[in-house]
Amino acid sequence: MTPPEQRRDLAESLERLAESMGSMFELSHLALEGALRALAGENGGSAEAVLTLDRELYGLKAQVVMGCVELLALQAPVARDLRVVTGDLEIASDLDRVGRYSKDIVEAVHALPAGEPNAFSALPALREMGTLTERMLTTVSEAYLHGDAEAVRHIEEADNSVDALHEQIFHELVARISDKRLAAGTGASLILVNRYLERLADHAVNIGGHVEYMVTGVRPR
Amino acid sequence: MSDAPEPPPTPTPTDPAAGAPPSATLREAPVPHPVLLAVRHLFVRAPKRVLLDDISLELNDREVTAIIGPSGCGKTTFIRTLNRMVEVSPGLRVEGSVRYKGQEIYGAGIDPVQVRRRIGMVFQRPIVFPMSIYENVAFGLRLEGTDEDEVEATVERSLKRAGLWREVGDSLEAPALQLSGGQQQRLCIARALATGPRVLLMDEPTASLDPVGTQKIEDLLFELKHEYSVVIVTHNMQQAARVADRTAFFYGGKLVEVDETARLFETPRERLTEQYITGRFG
Amino acid sequence: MAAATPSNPASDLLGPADGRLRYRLWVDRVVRWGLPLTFLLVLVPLFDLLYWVSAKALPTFTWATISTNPVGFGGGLWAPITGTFLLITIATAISGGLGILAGMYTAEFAPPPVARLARLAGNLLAGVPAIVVGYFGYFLLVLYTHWGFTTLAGAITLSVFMLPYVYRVCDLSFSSVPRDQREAALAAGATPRQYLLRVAFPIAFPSVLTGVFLAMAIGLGETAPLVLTAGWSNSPSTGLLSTTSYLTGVVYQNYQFPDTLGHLVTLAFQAAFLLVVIVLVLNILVQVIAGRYRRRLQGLFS
Repeated sequence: MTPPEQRRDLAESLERLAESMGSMFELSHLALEGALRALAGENGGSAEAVLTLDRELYGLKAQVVMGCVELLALQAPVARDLRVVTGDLEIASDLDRVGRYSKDIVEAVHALPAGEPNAFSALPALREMGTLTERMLTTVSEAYLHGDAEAVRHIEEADNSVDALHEQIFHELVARISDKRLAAGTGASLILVNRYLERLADHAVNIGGHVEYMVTGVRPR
Repeated sequence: MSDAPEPPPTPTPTDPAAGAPPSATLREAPVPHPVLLAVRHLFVRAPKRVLLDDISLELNDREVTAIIGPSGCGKTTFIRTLNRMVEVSPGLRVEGSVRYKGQEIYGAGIDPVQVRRRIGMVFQRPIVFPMSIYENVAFGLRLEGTDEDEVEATVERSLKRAGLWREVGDSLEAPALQLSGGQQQRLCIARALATGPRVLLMDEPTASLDPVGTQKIEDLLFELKHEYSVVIVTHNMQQAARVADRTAFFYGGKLVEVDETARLFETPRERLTEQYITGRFG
Repeated sequence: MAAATPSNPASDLLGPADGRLRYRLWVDRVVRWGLPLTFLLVLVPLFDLLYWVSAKALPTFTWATISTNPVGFGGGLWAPITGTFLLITIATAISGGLGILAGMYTAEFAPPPVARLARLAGNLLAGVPAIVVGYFGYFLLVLYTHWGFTTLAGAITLSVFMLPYVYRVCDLSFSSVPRDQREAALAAGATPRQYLLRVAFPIAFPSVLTGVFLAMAIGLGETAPLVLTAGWSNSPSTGLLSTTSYLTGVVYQNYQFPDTLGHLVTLAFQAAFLLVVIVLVLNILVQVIAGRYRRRLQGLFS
């Protein structure tokens, strides 16, 4: 877009909004990474970091919402500006959820009995799911930052794989619990982690849809 | 240009803007004339430049169409071609076709006076005549020598439609110039309605009004579009967004884009439109 | 603006007037007192004239002054009064009718080059000296027509003299009808003719009226065009094709006589007095009538 000579105030508000969104993407990324590290059994203080990141994301989300409301009320944005503002509103709450689920994963890992092998070694499919989810989040955040609708075109397919893995892991866990190969408590925690990762991927898909709308004006389905 | 004075209200209000073209084979057009004014390849030339450059645009019945664009883009010239007011300005040449209900308004044997009775106009500043309120509204009827009973009934009906009756109904003999700006503008609307037009052209009708006067005119537009086709030129994009069913963006004498208003302001197709409505130029 | 030092926050507002400002205030004072003084200076000759004419005319002014005809070295002003009214009525009818129509045409219909030409002609005509207009009337209406000196020739000549005043005021009046009135009338379905009659004319009317009355006042005071065309008679006009009598003629002819010859000079002053009174009444009348119409236009020229 041409450097806006006019409507400086609108341009500056949008810039501030973009900065907050950039931070949210970055922090949510770190949160998910921390959660995955916890699942891999590497501790080293990353659990506390994820809790902090979640709180920060929540604060940032509130800031973005306020910024958007102010922009809508004062600047009456239209066209791409309007789509950016409404898109940011939705994406911010998706990213807030990313922080929340990462925190939930860390807490679930915390509840696992000590001395057990880490979750990823116990369930290699879970590692695959984590990697996929993380890549999805990377994809949509890059698509957002570069305004590239093309980049999110295959996000659905990645999500289908995640869903399939979720299904498979769920049945596997149920089977192990019934065979008493897995303690019920541990099993329940892992079922939750499985579920959280699946939700995380869904949020990445949502974000992808919003990015597509922001850039092209077309709402996916 | 003779037609039934009021087409019956359509039993099932079908929104022509809703996208799907009416399936003519299935139903006999539910709205008598979905397209009231059809403009085709319209050019307006001044001695040294082209004011309107190949405009083709259809204006639907019972819809508000907003014309937006920067100053000098041809908005005003455009609506002045729709009732042949453009011919009042010397030195302008009009080419192309403007059809009202299928009839060429620039056709041979069509007098501009006939056209202007069917296609009324309201200007940027309220222009009332230095006469009584009553005589202002009756102006167009007096020109035809309508009999007094009918004049009286029409004046009352027009003032009611323009939302002014409650304010001036008991002081019809008062000088129109004593009304407030907003009232004067609604009086002008009443005057335009009195000759029984189907189309109302408004050239920045709220440009000289305060927010209250503006609001009343905008409210009025919502009422009027049940019976008329309204074309409004406006500098205020928020106003276009609020009142118009469809919005057309003009730039440099050309029609850049026309679309449903919500669509145009959410997802304009043309980059130029986007830059203009987001305030990146103009 | 806000450069006041914090120690003295009021300094930028209440400092002593510097030289430049003092000069401006001084000029302002000169203008404020000088203009009314100039105005009073202009009034001096007017009041001198009124006093002089009244002082000479009023002491012997009786009903007979108005009601009897001039006879020999005396008599009254009945014939000149009726003659003046007849002349001015015909001349106003002619110049008013033509002037208004021509003014309308120039302001509303004439293509710009034609309008420019017409305005130039009007200004030229207004600049022609009265005596020249008189000669024109004399050659065309007295000699060429073989009418001799007649009321009609006098009235027509007078109307030629008055015409440019009516014309110029009418052109201006119709030109200054707000342009958007025309737009609104045409947009409401009026033809140009209907616009002119129903909208423009009522708006221009007060100014047109003022212009016509102004022309009448100027016509009333003219002598030269009449002396050369209407001739002179001591009795009231017997028809359009006879000679006539008029107030300015009394002034013009009687003032040349010595004081010793009856009261001819007094009669001249009395005729002058009557002219002044008529012009005054005309002025008041036009103010009242035009004012009434103008009130309806309040807010139109804002």
